Amino acid sequence: MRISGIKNLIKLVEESEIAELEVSRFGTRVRIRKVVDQSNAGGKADAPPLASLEPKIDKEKEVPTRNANHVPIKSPMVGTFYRAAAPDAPPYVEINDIVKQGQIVCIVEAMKLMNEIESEVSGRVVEILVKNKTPVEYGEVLFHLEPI
Amino acid sequence: MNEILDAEVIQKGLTTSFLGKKIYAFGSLQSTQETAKRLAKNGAPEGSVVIAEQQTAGRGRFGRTWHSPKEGLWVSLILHPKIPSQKVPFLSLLTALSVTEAIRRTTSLLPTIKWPNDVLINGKKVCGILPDLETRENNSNLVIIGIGLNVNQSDFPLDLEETSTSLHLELDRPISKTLLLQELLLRFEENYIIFLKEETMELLEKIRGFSYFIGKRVTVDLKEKVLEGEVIDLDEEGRLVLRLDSGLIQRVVAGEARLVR
Repeated sequence: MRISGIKNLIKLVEESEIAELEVSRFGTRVRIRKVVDQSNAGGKADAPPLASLEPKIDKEKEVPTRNANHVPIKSPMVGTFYRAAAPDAPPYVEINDIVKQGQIVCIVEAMKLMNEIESEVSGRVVEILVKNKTPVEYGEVLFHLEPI
Repeated sequence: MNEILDAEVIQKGLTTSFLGKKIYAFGSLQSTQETAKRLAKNGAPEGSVVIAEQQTAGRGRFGRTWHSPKEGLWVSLILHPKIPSQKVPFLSLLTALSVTEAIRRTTSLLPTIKWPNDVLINGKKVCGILPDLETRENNSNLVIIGIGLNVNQSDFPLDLEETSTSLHLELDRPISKTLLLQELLLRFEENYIIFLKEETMELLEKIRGFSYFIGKRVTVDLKEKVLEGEVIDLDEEGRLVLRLDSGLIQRVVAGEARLVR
């Protein structure tokens, strides 16, 4: 589905009384949900109010195989996720890399404190779920490892 | 004349209960932060302090270098706070507070805290703070706090001249690094004990009083977008509370905040 098509769908939902719309086409599924209750907008808002209008795109073919044995590495705090120690340095880990227990896999930064996240198990990186330099929440899964 | 830091002399006048009971003093190190990390992994206890006359590869965040000649104070503190990891970032602010208090008590200068971890005098940076954390299981954290304080430098390289200052430049005289370090360790320990008792409101009151940003207009670069608004407060976790132009209140935990001039 093209971006322009998704934009048209968002416009359609915005201008209508529809609260939620899901369209499936050529293996791509787009769900657009409108948040009607904005009564809290003047108060505490940790996310921009329009974020919920952004289309959530699930491309099924891009979801890697995951099984129950895979071990998640979660963020121990709220902050910004960094895959490398410095802007010009290579990422700590890539997909399919083998990491050892105690090896640093990424950095989460909050209030300029650099938290080097170590893997608690030895394993193969099967999934990296967060984009470099983006915010992460407490407990958010950053990687999936296949233990070895 | 350059004052040589001596662990025995420092400890003689030190009134702390645990911070600085063990001091590792070096003439020259690549980085106190890296040495402290190694010492901590070999069992250096809570409150151990690493100092160096000069660093040959002093570092800032993201592999940036930190200019560290022998006129400055280059310190790393080793801590093992038994608290949940998500509370540890507050130590950035706590360190900035302790440095600010130590300078205010040993000189006539009035430094301010630029959230979250810079100490400024007359708008120029006098101290950089680099806290590193390694989270272990069972809330056992290893925290190494690097403190780089420009004390007796009488000049800076061209690329730093505009943005950096030293206590010497501001006072127009050199000051004792030993006395300053003793006061810094004492202030830090006092604040750290309050922090471990989870009485952070008391610390926040002091930090607010020294804040460079509160009441001012800033931009915050969050990498994926830039926020602009007025800083109205620090919240209970030390996050910057921003009122955006839309009226929305946004709490900021990471990102680069700059004054809008």
